[in-house]
Amino acid sequence: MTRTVGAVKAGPAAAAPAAVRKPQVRYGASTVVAVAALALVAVGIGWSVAIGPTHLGIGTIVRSVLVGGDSTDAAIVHGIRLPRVILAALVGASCAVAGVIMQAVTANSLGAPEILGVNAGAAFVAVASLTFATGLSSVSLVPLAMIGAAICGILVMVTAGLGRGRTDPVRIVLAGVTLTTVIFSVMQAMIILVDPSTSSLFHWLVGGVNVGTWSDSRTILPWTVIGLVGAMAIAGKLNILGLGEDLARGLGIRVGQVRVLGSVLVIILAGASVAVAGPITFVGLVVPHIVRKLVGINHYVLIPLCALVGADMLIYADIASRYINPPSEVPSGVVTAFIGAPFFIYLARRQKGDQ
Amino acid sequence: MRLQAESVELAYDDKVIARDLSITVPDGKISVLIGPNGSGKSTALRALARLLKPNQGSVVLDGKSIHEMSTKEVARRLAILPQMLVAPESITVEDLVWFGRHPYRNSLRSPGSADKEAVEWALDVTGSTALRHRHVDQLSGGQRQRAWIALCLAQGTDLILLDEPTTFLDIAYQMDVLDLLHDLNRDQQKTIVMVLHDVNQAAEYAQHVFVLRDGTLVSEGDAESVLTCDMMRNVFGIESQILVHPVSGKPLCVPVKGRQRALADARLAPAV
Amino acid sequence: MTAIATAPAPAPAPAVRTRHLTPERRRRMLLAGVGVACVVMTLVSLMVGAVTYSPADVWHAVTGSGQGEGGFVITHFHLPRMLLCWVVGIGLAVSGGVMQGVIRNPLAAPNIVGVTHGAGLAAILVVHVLPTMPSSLIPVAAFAGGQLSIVVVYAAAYRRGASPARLALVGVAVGALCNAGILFLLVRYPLNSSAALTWLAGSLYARDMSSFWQILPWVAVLVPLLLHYAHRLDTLGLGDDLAAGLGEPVERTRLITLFLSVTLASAVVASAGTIGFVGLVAPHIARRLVGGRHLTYLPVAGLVGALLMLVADTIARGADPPLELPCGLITSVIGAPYFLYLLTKTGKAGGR
Repeated sequence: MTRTVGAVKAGPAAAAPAAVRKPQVRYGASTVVAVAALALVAVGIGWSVAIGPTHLGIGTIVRSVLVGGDSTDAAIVHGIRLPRVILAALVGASCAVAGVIMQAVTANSLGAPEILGVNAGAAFVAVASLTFATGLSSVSLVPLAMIGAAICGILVMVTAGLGRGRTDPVRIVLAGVTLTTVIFSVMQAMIILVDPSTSSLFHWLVGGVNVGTWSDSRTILPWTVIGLVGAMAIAGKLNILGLGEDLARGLGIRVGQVRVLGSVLVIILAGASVAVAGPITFVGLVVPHIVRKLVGINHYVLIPLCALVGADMLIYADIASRYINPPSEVPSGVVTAFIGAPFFIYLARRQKGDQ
Repeated sequence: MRLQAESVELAYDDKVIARDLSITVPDGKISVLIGPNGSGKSTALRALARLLKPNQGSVVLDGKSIHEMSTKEVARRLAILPQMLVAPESITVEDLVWFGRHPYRNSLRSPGSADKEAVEWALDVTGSTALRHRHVDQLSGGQRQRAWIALCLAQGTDLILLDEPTTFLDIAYQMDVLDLLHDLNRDQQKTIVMVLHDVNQAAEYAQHVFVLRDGTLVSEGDAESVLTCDMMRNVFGIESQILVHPVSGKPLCVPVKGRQRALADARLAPAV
Repeated sequence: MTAIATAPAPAPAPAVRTRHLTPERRRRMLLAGVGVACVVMTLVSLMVGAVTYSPADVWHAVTGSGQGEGGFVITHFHLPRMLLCWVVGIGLAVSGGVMQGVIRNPLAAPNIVGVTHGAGLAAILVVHVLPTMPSSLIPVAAFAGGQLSIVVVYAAAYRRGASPARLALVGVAVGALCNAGILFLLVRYPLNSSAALTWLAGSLYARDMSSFWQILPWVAVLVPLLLHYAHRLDTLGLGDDLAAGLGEPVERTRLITLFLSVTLASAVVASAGTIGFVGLVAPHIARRLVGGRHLTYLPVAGLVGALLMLVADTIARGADPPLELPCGLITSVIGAPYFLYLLTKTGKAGGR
């Protein structure tokens, strides 16, 4: 509409090409956040290890970690508490990074693996496998969970019109929710029919890191690393994707390819998370929003910080889960829902009008 | 005057669009609101149509504050055609126009002869009678817009407000719609208020022009007195020449220089 | 928004009556088919059970002639189930249809606005936290839970008006919250989990006529009331601005119809548990059969809903007697493929 001022006088040399500025990086803010998040992780680990049926003092913990030994305290630290909190960190980081990638790829600030049914798909396949092929180790469960995550995620994204560029956030959310409902109801039926008192199967309805073991952490670690590294690799492209599909294409980004890559990473991260910890809700939704508010939209900074803050969120959710209703524990998946849902409502209130 | 806004303050959430705005719509004339983007013209129209409640001041219709009247009462006196129009899937033109009788509907009684007459008339006047059984989403742009206007006409009001009725149409359809509105005003004495982007269309068809900028009414009057070089410069920021349309005799605004170049030249030759 | 068609001449299509099936006739036949299927399934539903009886047995049982077998079973077990299927199907379908109109999204359904989860949470809360309470309190609690959740959703979504998009999103959040609460309770009290899960999955197991009488008044009153709002819901579909311009008090109508439809859904859920997909799928099928006008498609949706319930319940009872599957599972399994097909379609057509 506004006519561009055609500078007929001078050629391209006259107008100094405006340096292609990277999206604003608030370096000050990001360092502060990074340091704070790391500090919180450290404190969280310490705190998490300390509390429980037996309270352990800092000295005991430090000694157990550094020196080891055979005391019961050391056993608790090494065998129960530490693996649990490390798992929480890894799962939290994976979920958060999956969330930030998903939001970038779907150009939809309400994106999150569980909202798109990815969690449900992974959980479903895991339950089905456990039901019909008992004795599977959690390691082999991971690729199966990923397949489930993939199928669901693709279904929701395709049917919600992802291929057509402009996606209506409400439609995606509703599609994912409905698909999740189907899957969970079938899962519930399976659980009822097979053996409802098997609390291990129940674990798949609710996510939690309560019984996390070292093998769980070992299982998820490579996938988390792959996911993080992959995310960083496409971070630049995700930045440009944020300008809009057409503009991104005009700048030479192969949008379809980036979307596929991003989706694959989400599936890897979400699938692995669900495989070891069950469906954890809202971390992938909430953490990217918070971090984005603090440090801006540059994915080079956003992704690692989301990983840290995600780890924080789940560590502290896990800690809270032990305080809510002692001496029993509330599954962390429930705690994250209690935190995340009100936040989601706050986000929903900011949605403009309708259609 | 039937419809007027009296010293209204209009805002969306916390963003104030217009302050102390007073607009009196002349009866029986075609009035057009013009102004640059963000001037508040659509906002003012929506306020006049009871779609937006003013923070201060009031909109008065037939002597009563419009917000003291029920939506139904207002709908029987005033029709609005918003900019964004989405027709339900697979709806025929006739069914769409029937919606115009909604303000008169009572769930307990079925549509009467008055309703049928109104619908037939609306279809006839907009030239949509032959299209009555076609699906709205299969019509051309101009035909579709006429169908929507028929909906408004079926409401049987003398006041019709339209928000950018020509924006998504090509030039032939634009003139089509504007000519229709012109005839409605001439033959049926309908009072028409619309927001238009094209200043020349406004000059051509309006009997009264409201010029808005930054939420204030900068000037109003007939096209000849309002459309001046000074106005174009102050309100739109462009240099222009006002010619006379060779056929209609109305003012014709021809932009001479764009905003940036006008500024640049002003800097180079301030004495001029 | 569709592309502008290029047809210049507005000549109407000639009304050629052919022998072939015009879309109109095909639709009428399908509608008739639905009606017939309802009658057939009603009969089948009466026949099937732990033991399957013959139509003659059913006839004798219904007419009370004393002959034939299984008269007692049919009248005391199959008949209440059949009647329940009807009211549950109608209730959920009409409720879902209205909700889709209010939220202006074809994917809306009672569970979207958190009603089913809220009702479930309340019910399970009562079961676990107040185990000494009589079980007749459970439907009441569930009903209250459903109502409370919509109040919360509406209040949270209200910001100078409750737009359909916000309602949907907040509904999802509240549903998730209630779901978390449900899971928390299930984990906390694992002993009752099987019964709780069954209730959540939705089942008409061991329901008798009392459930029917509980739901019937709600359906009998609310469905006609909602039909009364039918043409106003049509107007809402034109968009808030135009609807207001046509004299529709948009916010008020939206509030009233939403609450009425939620009340209907709550009443059904309270007595029959959370049965999924009927409220989502039945209105869609009805719309494809008779078009989008609420006054015509809501009653048809009711029929389709009843049919779905009859089919699901019959399968639930007859698939593996004497074991009974939860009916809600069957509706989910039937609903899922149809839902996926639906998503693909609305995705392509741009939805509403």
